[in-house]
Amino acid sequence: MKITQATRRLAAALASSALLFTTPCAMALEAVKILAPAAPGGGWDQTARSMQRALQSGDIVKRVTVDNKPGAGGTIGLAQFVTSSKGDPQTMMVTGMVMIGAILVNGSPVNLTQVTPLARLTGEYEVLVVSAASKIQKLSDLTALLKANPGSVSWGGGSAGAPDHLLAAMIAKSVGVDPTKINYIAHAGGGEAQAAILGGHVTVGVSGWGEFAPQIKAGKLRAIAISSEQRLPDVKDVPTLKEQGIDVVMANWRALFGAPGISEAQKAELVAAIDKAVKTPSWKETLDKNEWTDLYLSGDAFKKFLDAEQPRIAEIVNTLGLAKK
Amino acid sequence: MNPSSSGRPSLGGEALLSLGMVLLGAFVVWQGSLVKAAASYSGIGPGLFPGLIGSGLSLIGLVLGWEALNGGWRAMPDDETTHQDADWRAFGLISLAVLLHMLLVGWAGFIIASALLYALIARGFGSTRPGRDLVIALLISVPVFFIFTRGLGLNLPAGWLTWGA
Amino acid sequence: MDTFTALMSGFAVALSVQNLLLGALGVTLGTAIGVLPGVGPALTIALLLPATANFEPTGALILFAGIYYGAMYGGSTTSILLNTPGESATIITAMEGNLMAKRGRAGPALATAAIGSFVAGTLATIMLTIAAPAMVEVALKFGPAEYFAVMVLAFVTVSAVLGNSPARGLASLFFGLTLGLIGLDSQSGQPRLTLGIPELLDGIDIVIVAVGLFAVGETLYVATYLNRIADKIESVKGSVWMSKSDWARSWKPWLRGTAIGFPFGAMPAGGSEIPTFLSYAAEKKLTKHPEEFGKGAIEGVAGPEAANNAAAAGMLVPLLTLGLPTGATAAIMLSAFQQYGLQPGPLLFASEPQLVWGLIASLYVGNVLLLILNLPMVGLWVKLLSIPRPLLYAGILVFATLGAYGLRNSWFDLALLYGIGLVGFAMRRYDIPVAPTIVGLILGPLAETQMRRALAISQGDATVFLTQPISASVLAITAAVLIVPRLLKRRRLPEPTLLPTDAPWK
Repeated sequence: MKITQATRRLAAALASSALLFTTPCAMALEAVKILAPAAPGGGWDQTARSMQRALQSGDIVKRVTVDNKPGAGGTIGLAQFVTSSKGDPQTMMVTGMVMIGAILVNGSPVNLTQVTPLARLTGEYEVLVVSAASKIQKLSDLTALLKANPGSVSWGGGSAGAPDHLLAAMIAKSVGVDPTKINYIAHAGGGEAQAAILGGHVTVGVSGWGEFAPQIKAGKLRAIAISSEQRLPDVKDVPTLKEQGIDVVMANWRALFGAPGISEAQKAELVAAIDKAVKTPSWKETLDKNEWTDLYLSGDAFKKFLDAEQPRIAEIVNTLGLAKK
Repeated sequence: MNPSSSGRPSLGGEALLSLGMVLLGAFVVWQGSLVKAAASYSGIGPGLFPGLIGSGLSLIGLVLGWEALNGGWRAMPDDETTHQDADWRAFGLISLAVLLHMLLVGWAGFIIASALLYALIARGFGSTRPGRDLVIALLISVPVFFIFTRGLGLNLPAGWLTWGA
Repeated sequence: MDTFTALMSGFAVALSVQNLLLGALGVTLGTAIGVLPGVGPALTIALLLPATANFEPTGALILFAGIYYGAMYGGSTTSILLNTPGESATIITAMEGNLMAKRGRAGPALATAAIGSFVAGTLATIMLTIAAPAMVEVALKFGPAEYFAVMVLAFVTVSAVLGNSPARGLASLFFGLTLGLIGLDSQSGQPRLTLGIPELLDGIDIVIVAVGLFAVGETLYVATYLNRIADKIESVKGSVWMSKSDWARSWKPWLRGTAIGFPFGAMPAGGSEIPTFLSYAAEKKLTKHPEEFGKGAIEGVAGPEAANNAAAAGMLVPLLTLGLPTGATAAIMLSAFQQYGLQPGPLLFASEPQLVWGLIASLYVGNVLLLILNLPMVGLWVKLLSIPRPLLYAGILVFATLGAYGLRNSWFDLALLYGIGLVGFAMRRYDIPVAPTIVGLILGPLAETQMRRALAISQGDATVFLTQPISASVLAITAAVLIVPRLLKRRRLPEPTLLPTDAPWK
């Protein structure tokens, strides 16, 4: 069969790329399984597979496998992780901010407090864009329209309850507009929202920086605000929400969690492995290629961040009436 | 089943399916009415379409039910296959094969479950050579397993045969 | 001509030994995964991305484009031979294609699909070469109101797939619409008809429904009712090859399919399924052999096959010119571009002409390779049908369950597959057509979403569908499709051959 030849070649390519970096060092872990609660190809899956490569390239963990368990915004994978990986010190799960919303929207019986936070890896800031032909030049033009008639401003972004939706609600709230009154038009991922913005069918677009970056650079879309704390080094000309008087900072972060019920020592071992993995050239290259912002935060610092982040997201999801029950 | 004098296989089945449609439609309408209507500028909530589609399904069910009770569904094909007696044993064997595969795949593994599925379905179709069937089944399922797990890096359960790990 | 010289230099790139080999590898791999239900081109490219990180970008993109085109070819092969669509865009092909195979005409069905795909792929690539920038400007004018109008048109023309009895066809259509409701509502995020089962929150995958209705339902039916009758499937009746009349009946559907498919692919929310429905409807209306539809009409294979391949090429228009992905495969190809630090968009043609034109040229080459790969295979594929029934159907179910299970490794999907298979069995038994279910499942959620988006943007003003020029004209065409034939019939004029069904895309 022809396919076996092709796959053998592919396997060879995979193996050779894994052999590129073989610096021997103390091997703490024999094998680790990373669960990506998403279909292959998506952001969480890419994170899991990049981490797989990083862990193996640095000889930090001998054998790393990636398991995909997509469905319901990752909550199906989370439920499986909580029940069947309990106490297993050799499993990790990729997840992120999106899941906090998904847990509430889907009425998931399990949540992130049941798993062990290990480290926040990367993130992506949200950006507000209008089409190049739009009359809106800066954020204040948009907020003026919003205050005058919230229904006249249609927001194009990802699915209901996604970070895009939550950011729109937070912006409305901070300018004194009832967040439930925003006219949010949910789109399936990919280019659907972009097309609606480029075609001028919605007033403003909101999504991760990476999704709009090509259009912004080509001058087809105008970025009017970014949700980072400070201006990003490589996009100095896009002002933050904060400097335009809207006190909202939001990053769509991705992180690794350990199984429920693992010991402190087991947790420390996994965190140490991740600490090493993010220093490998393989990981650095991944961040570079995918334009992911490095938001590395591990151990207790990550736990502290989570304790503040979860209620903040939960509050806005509840305000929007998206939470089930 | 009892073939009626007009050569129709089963008016009972037609009536039953029609009733099923009416009930399914009603269920969809009811479920639609439970959906919390989130405020939206469209003026159309998420409950409208379930209402419309459910009503439509019920209505068609009623029409088909009336037809079934008044001489049977219209324009049914009348070829020799509709006059055959059903082979429920074959039906049962194939159902068993699929359901067994569902139970086994995560536990015994993809290769074993698929091999059993293959052999049982072949049996359902009247094959009397289970040994040959199992060999063919393995010739299909083993390469597929390796293409998926090794070639594409996807996961199929290895189950009892643990060379995939 | 600038475009011409650019294209020629592109051929120089595509015809290098290395790129030719990569293209051949891509189309072979693509054909293979197209055959497997549940494994699509998007998934394959996603999984190959890391392995190709060290490739030279042109070569990798040629490989991916080959996979994408190849998958469309492979999907139609299983549709025709096994009634098991490998890809959602080849579901309609299964209708007439499998009926042809059952009448011993699998060879011509496969040939018209392969040649139709070649013709459509090549013509669409030519359109891509010359019209890409202009096309994309038009495509962006399509907003929610316009898409809704197109969906209405699609619904109206759907009557062509309803079968012998309008009542049973509608029952099937509404069953599909009901399945389409299941899951989180896209606009409000509220769950509908999920019965509290988390696996249902994402809705039911089209692949499971198609494979369940076609493959599982068919297997149950054949085993229960037909197995005792002597094997009636004649693997080859007459020539394996297309006859003169097959050619005569195929070439127009190929061209019409291309004309319908390409613009749909280029539209950001067009997709490759809807054009196959429209093409089928158009062919059924225009054919000189209406009696053969539902029994295996070659036009019903030629048109939709051309349409889905043309749509596949159309997808590259917004991807290359704007960096806009219009489907899962396009989204993955976009991340492939980004992996190499390339930004698709108007600048790409200027900054990386060698790559863009190399890619476009490799599409021509890929089409030729696919034809070379597929035509000689027709004879071999047809032999599949002479496999004894027990072994053939057992094999079909192994692939069907693999497709359903492989989606997310969940036994729930297998239960769903069997449940839908039971429905398919009942539908087959009581002559309820299955295609309208698929149509409803695909069109329903799209139509609802676009309608609610349009109304939200207009803040509840329903006149938006009539005040937007494109939407209004599409709706006018829809009305004409509905009314004109009836008026003509009333005047007892013969049915005209120039129905406006396919006019808007010409």
